[in-house]
Parts: sequence; structure tokens; C-alpha cells
Amino acid sequence: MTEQKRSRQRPGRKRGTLPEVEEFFLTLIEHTQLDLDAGFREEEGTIVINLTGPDRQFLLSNGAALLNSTEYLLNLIFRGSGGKAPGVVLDSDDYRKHRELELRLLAKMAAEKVAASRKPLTLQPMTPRERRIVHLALAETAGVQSESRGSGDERSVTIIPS
Amino acid sequence: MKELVELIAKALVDNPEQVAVAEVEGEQTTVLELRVAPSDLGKVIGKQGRTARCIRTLLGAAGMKLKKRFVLEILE
Repeated sequence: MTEQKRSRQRPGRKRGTLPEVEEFFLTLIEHTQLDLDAGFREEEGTIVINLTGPDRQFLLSNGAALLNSTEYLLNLIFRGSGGKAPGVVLDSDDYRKHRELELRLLAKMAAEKVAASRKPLTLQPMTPRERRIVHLALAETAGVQSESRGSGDERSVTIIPS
Repeated sequence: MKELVELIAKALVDNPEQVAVAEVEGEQTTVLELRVAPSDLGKVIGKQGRTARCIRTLLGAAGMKLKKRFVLEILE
């Protein structure tokens, strides 16, 4: 009974191997008609896709909405909704790395402000990964604490004086 | 754009053979009507509509590039 249900669950379920992800993703990009080149590599069990090309701006506008949305869909498709560590990471010419540095700087400046004013400060909504970077940066900072508030796309980090 | 929605929807659902997308072209806006098996509705909508929102973001970017507006309607 359970066996039957499990086998019925996802007949065309993609396993998320590199060639499978590559084939699916290239078809996806083709259908969006965006002019982008994709490079694929595997890094510690994670598939990293790097996107570059004339239409790169579309990926990064509006808080990298397109980059993050596409990454979310890819992980749903190849890992299911119960995914833990990201199976597919979508990047564009080190955007993720630059964003991390930017977030650490933002966290540091916001923490200084909170420590001086003794008033809580709520940052803009962020993705779980971005919030994690901020929480980690603040964990090393004396005088403040951080927590996430809100739900869904509105969830954001609040920095509180301690 | 029909193919894009079809590709994503088929990859998300349990019953890909029941995925159907109709493209209704208007003057400025193209409406993409997505139909899936009733049991798969949640798969294409997602928690708090997140999956649907992600598909709409993709359509929005493609629309910007083509200077058109694409609207995704998930039909029950």
C-alpha cells in the first residue's frame, strides 16, 4: 500500500544529476528567450550554475528576483519541497559572494546604529540564505542580538540591543 | 511562453500528462492559462503561493525582454 503510493508519487521525478539539471535548465533558458550563457560545475554535492551574458541585468534587478526565483524552482523540481542544503545554486559572476560581503557590511553598520541608539532596527526582507549571513555576522558582534520576524517573502531580520 | 510554463509545471507535478497550458493573446497582455490535475494544484501554487510567484517572476523577465506582458492564471 505504502509502496504503491510511493511509486505513484512522482513518476517523472527528476533525480537531479548534473546532466539532468543541465538539460532542463538549458531548455528553460531557451524558452525565456533571454540571452544568457550557463556554466555548470559540481561543488561538494551541490550543482552550481553560473550565468553570464548580455541579459545578465534581468537576473539581478529587483533584489536578484529572477536569480532567486529560478533557483527556488530548480530546487523544488530536483529536490522536492523537503530539501535541506541547496542542491542547485544559481549564481551570476560572483553575485552571491558580493552580496555576502554587502550583507556583512550592512549588518555591521546596522549593529553599530542599534548599539548606539538602543533601539531595535528591522532590515529589509531577505531570503533564508541572506538572513543566515546576517545572523552569523551579528553573532560575533557585541551589544546586539538578532532574530527573524514575519513570514514568507516578508520575513526579515530585526536587530535588538542586548 | 506557453512552452516555458508547460516545462516548469510538468516538472513540478505528479501527473505531467494532465498539464495543459492555453495562450490567450490580447493586445498588450498575453494570458497563460494553466490547468493541472486537482491533486497537483498545490504543487504549482506552493506554500503561500510562492511557487506560482516564482513562475510569474520568470514570465515577468521574459516579458520585459520581449516588451510584452504575460499573466499566469492557474485554473481550478
